[in-house]
Amino acid sequence: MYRDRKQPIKTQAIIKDIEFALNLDDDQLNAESSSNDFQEWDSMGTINLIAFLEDKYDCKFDLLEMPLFNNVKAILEILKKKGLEIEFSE
Amino acid sequence: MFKHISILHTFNINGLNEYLLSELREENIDDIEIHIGEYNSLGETAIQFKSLYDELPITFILLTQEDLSRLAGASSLNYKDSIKRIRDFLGHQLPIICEYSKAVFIIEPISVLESPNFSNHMRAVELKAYLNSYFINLQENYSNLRFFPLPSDLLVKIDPRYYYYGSLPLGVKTGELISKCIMKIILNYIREKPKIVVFDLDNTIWGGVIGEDGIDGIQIGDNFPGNVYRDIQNSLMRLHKYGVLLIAISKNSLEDAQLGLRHPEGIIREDKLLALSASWGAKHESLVEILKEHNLSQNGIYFLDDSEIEREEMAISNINLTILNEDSSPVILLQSLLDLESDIHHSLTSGDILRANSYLGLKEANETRSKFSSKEDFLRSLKLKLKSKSLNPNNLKRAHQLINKTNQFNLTGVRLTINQLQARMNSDKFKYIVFSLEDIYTHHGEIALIGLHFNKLNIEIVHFLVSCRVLGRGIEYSLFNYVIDLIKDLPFEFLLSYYEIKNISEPASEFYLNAGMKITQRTKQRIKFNARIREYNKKETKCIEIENSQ
Repeated sequence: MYRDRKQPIKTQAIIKDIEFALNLDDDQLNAESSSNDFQEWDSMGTINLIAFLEDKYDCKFDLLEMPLFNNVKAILEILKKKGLEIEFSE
Repeated sequence: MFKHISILHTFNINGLNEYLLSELREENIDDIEIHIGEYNSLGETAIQFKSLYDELPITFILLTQEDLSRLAGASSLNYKDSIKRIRDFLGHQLPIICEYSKAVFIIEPISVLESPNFSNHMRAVELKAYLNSYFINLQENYSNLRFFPLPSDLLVKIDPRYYYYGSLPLGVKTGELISKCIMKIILNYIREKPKIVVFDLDNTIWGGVIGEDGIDGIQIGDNFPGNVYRDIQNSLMRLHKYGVLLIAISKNSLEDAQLGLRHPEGIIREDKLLALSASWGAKHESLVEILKEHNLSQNGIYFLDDSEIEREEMAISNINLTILNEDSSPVILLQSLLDLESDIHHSLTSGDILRANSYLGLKEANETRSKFSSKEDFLRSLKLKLKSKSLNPNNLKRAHQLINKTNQFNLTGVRLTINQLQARMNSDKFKYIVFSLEDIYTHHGEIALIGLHFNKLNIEIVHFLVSCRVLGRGIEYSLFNYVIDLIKDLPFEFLLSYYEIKNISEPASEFYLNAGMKITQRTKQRIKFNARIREYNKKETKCIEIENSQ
């Protein structure tokens, strides 16, 4: 699942990944969504999401970053910190 | 088999139930209920589960070292004190879990701090060494408990982040990985315990073809590729020591086969084999003849051969056996033998080990039989000596094995759990006697068992069984006389028993009648017998001495 980090990734693509990892239907999430809005986004959902993103973007999250995976905005920020070029889009 | 699986765990095993049910279905193991519960300080889950099933479950215990330390209150203690605390903790609950389970499988506790991230954490390494040794030794005390090392492919999956964040020591796939591990144990548990390993010679226990390469050309020893064949021979010899009978069947001349078995660096010698068959005929036909000659039943037979054609021919023959290796590679041959070893070495009794020697002794005795003019002379020459011992904690495991494994001469056919047998051992209403047999060739170990139940007026033989390998020597009549001598002065009128009909052509079917008992009732399932104790005339048995060694 490794991808070239130099190629910018659109936020919408990451949101699609999050939907996929959490087993949500398409277009259920947006940049403002958080775990409070979805039953599927519980602690196991979060763990699945972390494992999926680690695998897909070839990065490793720190233990203390794990609780931050509870809203889309924070996830985008963390991925950015890991060196991913993110192209923010509406 | 089993109906219930109980899983006691300290960490998150999310999805395990579904994964395991799906794997069980794939193996055609249906109608199994899985009960999942916390592993807690009092074995309470095991007790609570008891009300859920009609028969005892097989139980799996899944721990991490870190959880175990925490539950035992040992996390912040020094190493010595923490060990003591953990030992006390386990010592309280494991007996309960063992009592409420048919079999208990402890998977080596996952050491989160020994993951690749913390590879030099000495305390974790020390604790792991201690716990492994503790669980291995515990198998001696609990016959239904088995310890399994954590598969090496799981070690690399340990991820402390997921453990600390979500109690998932093996990451997001913890449930799936543990399910695979449990499934492997279940498949080992249900497969027949090995009694006989049948193997080829050329390119199986040595490299090369003895008939073509000669004794100097075959490979066995310390150098490649002989070193892998040396380890194959070592493994076969360990199986032999565990009580597994070895049969070599090779497409060779007998002289060549014998020559190969005398190789200076070889480990298996001809005298360790129950039989060596070297011919150009079909291997399954040779095997049938060998089994018949040694009065061996077709169960627990495993076959090892580098040739795919031979393996296929054996697989489609009518013999009930398991092909050990799926590939011709010597490493696969070795791996399949090592798997077999790890499968049996936990469930051994001293009887198993003696059994192999016993068959080899019988082989030697049968070879000299033709020298005697009558069977009585032959039997007398063997100097058969039976020794009796009351059932006690030392022979309980073997007695349990005899009760549950003897088929051919098992008159009442009643099976018991080890707990039921133990209860009878401690009861005044029952007397169980275990018999061992010696002759001039070998010590056959404990080969017979009789169980008596004292009713108000009568005594009933509730168990009477003799291992099939020593049948044909009249031992059963000596045992019956022993019972009569034991009870003749007791204030009981009748001796009762029955024969549970399995197959009327069995040697056991006529036994009570031949021993002088009278039929009192005959149904499709069983024939009941009695004898008035004081009026009973013993059948003469000349050649067997009985020594009471209790």
